Amino acid sequence: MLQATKNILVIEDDPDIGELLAINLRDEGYLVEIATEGDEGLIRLKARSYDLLVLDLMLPGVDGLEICRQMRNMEHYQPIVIISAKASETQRILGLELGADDYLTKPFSVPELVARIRALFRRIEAMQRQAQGKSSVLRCGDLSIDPLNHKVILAGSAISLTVKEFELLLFFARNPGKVFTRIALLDQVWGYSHDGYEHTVNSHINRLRAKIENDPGNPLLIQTVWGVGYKFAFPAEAVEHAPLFA
Amino acid sequence: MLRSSHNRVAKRQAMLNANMRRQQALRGELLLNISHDLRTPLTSVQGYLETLVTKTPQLSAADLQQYLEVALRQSQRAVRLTEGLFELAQFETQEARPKFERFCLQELAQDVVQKFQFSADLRQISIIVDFLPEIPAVEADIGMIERALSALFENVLLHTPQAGQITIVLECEANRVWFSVWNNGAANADRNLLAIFESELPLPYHPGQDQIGLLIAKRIMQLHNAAIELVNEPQGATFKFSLRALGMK
Repeated sequence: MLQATKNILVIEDDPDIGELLAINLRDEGYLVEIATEGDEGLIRLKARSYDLLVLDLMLPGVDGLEICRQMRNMEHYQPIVIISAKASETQRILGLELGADDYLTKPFSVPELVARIRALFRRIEAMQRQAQGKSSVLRCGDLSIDPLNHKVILAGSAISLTVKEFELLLFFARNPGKVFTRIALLDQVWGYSHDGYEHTVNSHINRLRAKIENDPGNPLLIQTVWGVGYKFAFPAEAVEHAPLFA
Repeated sequence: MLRSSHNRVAKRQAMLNANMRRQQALRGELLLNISHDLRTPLTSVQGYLETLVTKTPQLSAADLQQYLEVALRQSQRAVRLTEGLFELAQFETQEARPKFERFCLQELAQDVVQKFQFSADLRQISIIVDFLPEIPAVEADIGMIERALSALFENVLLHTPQAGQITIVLECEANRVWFSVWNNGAANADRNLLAIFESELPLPYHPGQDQIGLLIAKRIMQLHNAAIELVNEPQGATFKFSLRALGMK
């Protein structure tokens, strides 16, 4: 392995759980530090940068969501995995909207947490590699997608998409004709697979269709392949790669 | 005349009171059942862990492994139970209001079936889905409907014998999109299970994970002003529900 050892900070007030995480993450070869209070965690986060943060939400002192918020205002991007006893969908969505990369509810399985952390590191590395390459504009008929500027133009006029709608469209357009199951889309575009959160893919496909299809009830671009999944039904050979928008 | 209307009011009040008392009694019974069902796996976890702490030096490696596995399996059972109860409690609170959006129930059904394909394959159960492209869209809370579909599916899968068959049908009738899932083999003849669907009240039941799931599904349908029907026949059982169709193709 040429990669440098990854540093992980765990902010968790229960010493038994903190220790359990440290034992298992150290076994994976990561360097682990533990902070048991929110304030202490923030001081460490400001003093140096970590490769990943495992964060409990209910903490003495500064709470986990506040730490999340402050970290997303820092310059250096540090992935965050939240572990919390708050299991409601509202809480989960709030955590993810505030910039957490993954959310596990207590009680969780330690092997699952470790697997998700590994997957998160893989995804971040893949994203870094991708950012260096593919940056040309994709043209599919009268639909143009500019990956660098996050811009989409349909029949001459710009259309506004949310970040995830954009990423989903870009993913489809980069893989024309291929059929993806819902779980594959969640994995590729969202990068995490929350149980009970998969339907967000259906909602995003619907909203995307409403914005780019002439008749969203009868979609021509993002089609359903019954019994399998979804595909971008534009002929691969007709997708043009053009230089960036002027 | 005044007196008779007084009597009517008094009678109605008495009926409401009786209903309330019955409901309270049922809730009490429900709580008892739940705490009992939680206590069973927890007793097991505690017992095996205590044994390990006091007896480890005398235990063989095989026993050690076996005790740990039991403790783990039982703790997973307790976790599943509390998760289900927590979810059910959430759907009972006032904040649980559906967030309506337009979506295609068929696409959702297809994606939910995929989640269960692996467990079905393990027991050679075949899942047959009748997809008709012309089914109209519905307006409902997509997250909740997915949860309800999953609960129904989990239950059906549990009651389908090895190498059995599950059939899913979607059809449009009288401005409603009907979803039904049918399994061959043993009927879901469990009386408690039937009671879940027949009464408006939370019922005394022995909450296996699948039954909590059905209660959640029932509650979700109530929140959508819909109902789940369970049709039991000797050769199998069918769950059915319908959602209002939208006038779009």
